[in-house]
Amino acid sequence: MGESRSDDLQRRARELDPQALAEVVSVYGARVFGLAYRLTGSADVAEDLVQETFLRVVQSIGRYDDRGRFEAWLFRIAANVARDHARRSARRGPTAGLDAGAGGRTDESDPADPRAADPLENAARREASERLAAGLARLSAPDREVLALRHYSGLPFREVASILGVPLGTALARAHRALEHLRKAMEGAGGAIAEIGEIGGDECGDPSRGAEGSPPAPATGARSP
Amino acid sequence: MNERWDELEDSVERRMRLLEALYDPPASAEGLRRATDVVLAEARRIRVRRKARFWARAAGAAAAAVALAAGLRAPAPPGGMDSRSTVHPAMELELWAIALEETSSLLGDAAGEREANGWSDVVEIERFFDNLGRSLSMGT
Repeated sequence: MGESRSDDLQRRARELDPQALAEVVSVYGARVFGLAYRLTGSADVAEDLVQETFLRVVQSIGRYDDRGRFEAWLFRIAANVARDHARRSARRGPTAGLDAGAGGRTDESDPADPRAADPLENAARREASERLAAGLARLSAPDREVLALRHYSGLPFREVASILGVPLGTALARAHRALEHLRKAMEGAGGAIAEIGEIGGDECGDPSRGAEGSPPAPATGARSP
Repeated sequence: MNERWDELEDSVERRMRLLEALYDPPASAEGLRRATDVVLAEARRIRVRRKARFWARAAGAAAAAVALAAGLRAPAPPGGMDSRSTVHPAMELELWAIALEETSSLLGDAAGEREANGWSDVVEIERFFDNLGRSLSMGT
């Protein structure tokens, strides 16, 4: 969405214009759902959280400060809604995991590319997605939160760290550690899956070896501060 | 130090491409429609509450203006202000203003309460306020 169009949408949404509010749900709904789904592991719960997120958005949009980024504000609300849900769930006790194993609603989330004629390629894509989903589900909640928030919000890590209320170093260390786990989860797979796993190859130092929030270990060839 | 953070951030950003292979279950159209309905209903409630407060304040201000005008036109008591009175006229005016504010707030809350009666009621209230605004602006 262009900046001026986005500004116009936000202005009209602040005025509680019904069309603008419907557009906000339409533009951000799927990404908020994705975030909620990865954080809760349930499509049904995620739908409830999407509703709760947008309800809070409309209730507080009058106080939204347009000097910040709208996405950052919206995803902060979404993350808070998911955290509130996690707290409530923790009080109630353990619940079931992801809807359909670790891969989610596989009947609706077929990662096979319909344009790809190669059934082997489609099978590889499906397996890669399932492995990633399973890997994500096994991450600790803070590690999964930072990855999911970065992935679905599209915000830079600095803003993700701000949303989560942690230093940038902590957010990066968590993301690094989480991606390393995912890369390992992709290892051992052949063909396309292995290629995907290679994207996560270690190109830099391992900040997760240090304490969270502390300066990162020097990367190979990195200059000293 | 900042350069190291930048390098690490770049590195992690590159690794984030790993997640491009992740496919999510799509948000159901029904779920998004429900979310939209909830948002629109809430927006209408907020608009009605704002309009109720606006009109309550406007009515209160008009009443205050009438009372003030009536007070200014009334003849002063012989011998000036009653020295036995414990309330200063300025204080009286302030109390009057506080009472108006309270009344406005109560009226606004009352309009908010009515939203619990259902969607159609809120629609009617909003229409009433809109018509009121239109008829008054036409009269000027």
